[in-house]
Amino acid sequence: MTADSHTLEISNLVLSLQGRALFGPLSFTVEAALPTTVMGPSGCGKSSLLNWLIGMLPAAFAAEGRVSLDGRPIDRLPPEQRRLGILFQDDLLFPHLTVWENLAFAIPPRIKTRGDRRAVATAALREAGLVGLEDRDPATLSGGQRARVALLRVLLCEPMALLLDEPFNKLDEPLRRRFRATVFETARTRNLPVLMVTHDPADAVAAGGPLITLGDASLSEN
Amino acid sequence: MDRGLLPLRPTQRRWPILGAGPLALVPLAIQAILVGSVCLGLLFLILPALGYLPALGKSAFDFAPLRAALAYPGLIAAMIATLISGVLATVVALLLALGLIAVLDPLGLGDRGGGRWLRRSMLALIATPHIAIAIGLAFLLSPSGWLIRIAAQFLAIDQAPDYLLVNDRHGLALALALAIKETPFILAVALSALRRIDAEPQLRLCRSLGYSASAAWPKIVLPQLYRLIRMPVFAVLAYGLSVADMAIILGPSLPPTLPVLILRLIADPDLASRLTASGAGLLQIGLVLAAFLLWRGAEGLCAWAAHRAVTRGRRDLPTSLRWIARLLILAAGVGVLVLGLASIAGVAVWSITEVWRFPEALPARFSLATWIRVFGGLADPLWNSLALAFATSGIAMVAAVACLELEDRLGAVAARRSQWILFLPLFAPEMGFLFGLQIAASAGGLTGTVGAMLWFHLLFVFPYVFLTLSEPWRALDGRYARAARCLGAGRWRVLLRVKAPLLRAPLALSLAVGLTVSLVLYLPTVLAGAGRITTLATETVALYGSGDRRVLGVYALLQTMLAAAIFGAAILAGRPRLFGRKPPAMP
Repeated sequence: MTADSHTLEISNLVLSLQGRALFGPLSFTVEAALPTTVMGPSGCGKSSLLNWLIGMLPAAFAAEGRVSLDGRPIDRLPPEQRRLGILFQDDLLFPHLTVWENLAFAIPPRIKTRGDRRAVATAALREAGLVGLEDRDPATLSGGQRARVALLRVLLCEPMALLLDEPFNKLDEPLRRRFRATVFETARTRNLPVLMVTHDPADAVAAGGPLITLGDASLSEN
Repeated sequence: MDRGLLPLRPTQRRWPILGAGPLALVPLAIQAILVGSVCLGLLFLILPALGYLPALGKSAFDFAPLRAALAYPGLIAAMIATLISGVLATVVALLLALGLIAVLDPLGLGDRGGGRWLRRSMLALIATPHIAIAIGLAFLLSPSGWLIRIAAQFLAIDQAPDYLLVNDRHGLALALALAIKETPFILAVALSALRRIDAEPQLRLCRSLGYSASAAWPKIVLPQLYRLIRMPVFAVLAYGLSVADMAIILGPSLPPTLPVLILRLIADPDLASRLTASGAGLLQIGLVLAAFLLWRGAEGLCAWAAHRAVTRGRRDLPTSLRWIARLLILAAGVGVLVLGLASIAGVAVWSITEVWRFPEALPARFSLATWIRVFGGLADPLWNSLALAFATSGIAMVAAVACLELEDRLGAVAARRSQWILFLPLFAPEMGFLFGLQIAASAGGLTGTVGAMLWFHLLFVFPYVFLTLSEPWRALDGRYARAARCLGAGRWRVLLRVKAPLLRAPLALSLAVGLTVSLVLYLPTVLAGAGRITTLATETVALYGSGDRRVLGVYALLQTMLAAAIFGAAILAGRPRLFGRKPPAMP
C-alpha cells in the first residue's frame, strides 16, 4: 500500500514509577525491515514503554525522552494524532458491533459513502482470506479469525508504525505461529517499522530483528 | 446438610434444585410469592374490569367497566399527563445520568475534584426519600415558594404571583421531581455497570485508531453500557407511570394522573366506582405496556442511528457541539443537584419556622414548637413504619442470602436462569397489579392486617435487597470458600465465618436499602393497610391536604433523617472490625 518506508526513533527515554527509574536512558531506532523486540521480566516497564509511545502512560509513571516518526517528533501529540497502530494481548473487537462495523470504525473518514466503506472492508477481508464474515458477530468467530480481524482493523487505519503488546500470548501454539508469520509478513510488505514487546523468546526469533532486554533497572543491548 | 468435601457440585440432575435440601425451599417460596402475587393481582384486576365480579352480583363478561372508565370525566387527560410525566422523567434522567458519565469519564474527571464531588452528592440524593423531594420541590416552586421569595429580594414583588409551576396540567413539575429522584439512581446503576465493561483498554485502542476521547466514548462505551442498564431503565419507566404519592403532591389535580385517579375511585364508597376503578386499572396496565413498546421502538431507532454513525469513521465531534453538550449536561447536572438539595433545605427550614411572612427570604423567627406539637401524633406511624421496615427487610435479607447461597451450592446457571422473576414486581404496572392484589386480599379478609402489609412490602423490598447484594456476592472470589472447605469447614460454617464477614459491607448496605425502600413505600402501604394501619409515608401524603408547611416539613425531614441515619449506620457497620486492616478489595 505505502511504498515509502517509515522509521520510528526513540531517544534518551527514561521511564520511572513513583520516582524510581525502571530503565534508561534508552535510545534505539526501529527500521521497517527489522522488527525490534523488547523483552524483560514482568514489571520491568516494557508494556509501559508502549503506553508511553501511544501517549497513554498511566499517571503513576513519569517519562522523559523523545520519539519521532520519520524524523517528525510525535511525543507532544495527543494519542489520536500519532498514527501508531497497536495490537494488544486481547483482540478488543468491539462486542456490540459486527465484523464490518469494527473495520469501518478504523477506515479513515476520507472514504465517504457507506457503500465505499463497506467495499474497503470487504476487500480487506477477502485479501486476508476471511471472505463472507462482514455481518458476523465477533463472538462467533474462531480465535484465529478474531486475531486477523483485529490486525486488519489496525492496518485499515493506515498507521505509520506497528506496535505489538504481546498479541500472540493468548493464542495456542500452531495458530500462534501462523498469526505471527502473517503479522511480520504484512508489516514487511507495507514497510512498517515494528516494535514488539514479549516474554516469549520464540517471538523474538520469529521477528528476526534486534533484541532489547530490559530488567533490574539495567540495560543490555545485543 | 454437610456432605463433607466431596460434592462441590451435585451430580447432574433434571432438577438440580431438589438436591439442595431445605435451603432450596426459600428461593422457591420467594419466587412463588413474587410471581403468584403479580399474577393474582393482574387476574383480580382483569376479571372485574371485564365485568366479572360475583361479589356485586355480576358474573357475565362485558366491557361495561372499561366503558365506564373511558367515559369518566378527565380520564383521557389523566392518561396523557401520566404518559408525559413518566416518559419525560425517564428520558431526562437517563440522558442526564449517561451524559454526566460521558462528560466526566473519558477525561478521567469522575475521580477527581469537581467531578468526584458532583458524583458523590448525586449519590447522596439516592438516599433521600422521594416524598421529601416532592414536598421540598413544592415548597420551592409554588407561587409563594422559596424561589419567588428569593427573587422578591431583588425584584419588586410583594404578593404571590398567579402562576402554576406545580400541579401543572401536563405533569411537568411531577416529571421534574421524578427526574431529580431518578437521575442519581440511574447514575449509580450505570457507574456500577461501567466497571463490568472494562472500557479503559477499548478507549486506548480507539485513540490509537485516531479517535478523540470524547468521540470514542459515545461510540464505543455508551452502547455497551446501555445494554447493561436496560432493565433498571424499564423499572424507572414503570415507576414513573405508576407513582401516586409524588403525583398527589406535584401532579395535576383536575384531573389528576391516572394512578391518583384510580386511588380516588377506590376510596369512593360507591361500589360502582370500584368497577370503574378496575376498568381504569386495566387502562393503566395498557398505558405501561404502550410506554414499554414506545421505549422499545425508540431504542431500535437509536441503535440504528448509532450503528450508522459508528461506521462513518468520523474521528472527532465538532468542537462547538462538544462544548454545547458539555455545558448543557453539567448545567443540568448541577441544576438537578441544587434543586434536590434546596428541596431538603426548604423542608428543614419550614420544620423549624415559627413566623415566615411572604416576601421574606428567610423566616423571621425559628422554633422547635412544630416538632414538639407534632411528636405525639408521630409515635404511632413512626413505630409502624420502623417495625414494618425491619420485619420486611429481615425477611428479604434472609431470602436473598438463601437464594445466593443456593446459587453457590448448585453452580450459578440453574439458579440464574429464573432470576428475572425476582425483579418482576419492579416492571409490572404497580398501580394495576397492586389494586388487583388488594381486591384479592380483601376477598380473603386480609387488608388492614399486618400480614398483608408484610406481603405487599416484601414484593418491593426483596427485589431491591437482592439487586444490591447479588453483584458483590457473585464477585466474591470463590477460592476463599473453597480454601475454607479444604480446611475442614462445613458449608454453614463457611457461610457464617468466611462469606458473611467478607461481605460485611454489602450486607449492611443491602439491609439499609431494604429499610429505606420499605419506609418510603406509599401505594403498597395504602392499599394493604386500607386506612387502618398508617405509616410515616401514608401520614405525610394524608397531611398534604392540610397545607400546613411546618407539619409537612417535620414529616418530610424526619423521613430524610431516618434514611440518612440508616445509610450512615450501614457505612459504619460495613467497616472492617479490626483496626489497621484493610477490607478485602470489592471489585
